[in-house]
Amino acid sequence: MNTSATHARRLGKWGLYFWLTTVMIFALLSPQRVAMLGETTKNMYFHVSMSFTATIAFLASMWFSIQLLRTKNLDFDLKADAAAGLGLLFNVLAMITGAIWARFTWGQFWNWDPKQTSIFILLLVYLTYFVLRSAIESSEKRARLAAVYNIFAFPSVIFLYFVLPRLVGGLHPGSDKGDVNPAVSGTTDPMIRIFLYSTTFGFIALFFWLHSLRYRQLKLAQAVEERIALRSEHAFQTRAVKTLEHV
Amino acid sequence: MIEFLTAYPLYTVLAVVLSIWTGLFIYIYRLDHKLSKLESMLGEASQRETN
Repeated sequence: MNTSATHARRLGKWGLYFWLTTVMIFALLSPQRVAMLGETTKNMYFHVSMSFTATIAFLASMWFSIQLLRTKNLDFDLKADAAAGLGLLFNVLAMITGAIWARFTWGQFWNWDPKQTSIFILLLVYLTYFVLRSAIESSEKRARLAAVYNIFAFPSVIFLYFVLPRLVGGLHPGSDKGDVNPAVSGTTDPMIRIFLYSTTFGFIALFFWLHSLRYRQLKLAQAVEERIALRSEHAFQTRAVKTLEHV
Repeated sequence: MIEFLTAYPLYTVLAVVLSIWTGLFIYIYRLDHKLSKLESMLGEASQRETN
């Protein structure tokens, strides 16, 4: 095992721990407020970063799918699978945190605001990816079809997260005229933007770590499955030989 | 300590959030370590079989 790489990885993990810890302390104790939101301004650092991380996860998933089609290396299929799964997780976390926040600022958990509607559609789009995967028996065929679906799914992320909510009026900031950026804009306190981008960076790093864990677990499961298949084939052959010897 | 936390309730929230994050971090860190062990075990086993 390459020890310097192991050291670098360990340093990265602890670096992530101290980064997110520090950012959480500063973000939670910060005095900055958006007038309308009051104390819940701080939710922005956690809720918005969830959907940013989901976007990066879906982007990574599409990237691995492209690599799969280019190289035919099935490892990229596992990587795309792991990234899409985590994208779904962060997507759901964004929905839940948003709903809790909405209860106290908009009056009810779910309002079918353009962003709530589009994040729900995204959930269905990526659930379909997994339904499609589970429906195909052969691993090569599954990898190729899922990759093609995944590549076509990502543009819908861009449209549903970033384009549609800017086109129609809604409850999220940015839906009203003049304020172009849904999360933060030029008029937002620069410290709020720094906190938001810092937590987002931390959660994206966490995504890549979780992604490597999930990929390695899928890879291990595959190796174990192969060994079991090999062994049962071997057992079948010895049994066949014994039967033949009897005859 | 108790007076301080009563005066500034936000620090209680901070303590809760940081405890959760620390707990999850340690869990993920150990999971990573366990996966590495499993990988090397499987690697050794398949090496023994090919020899």
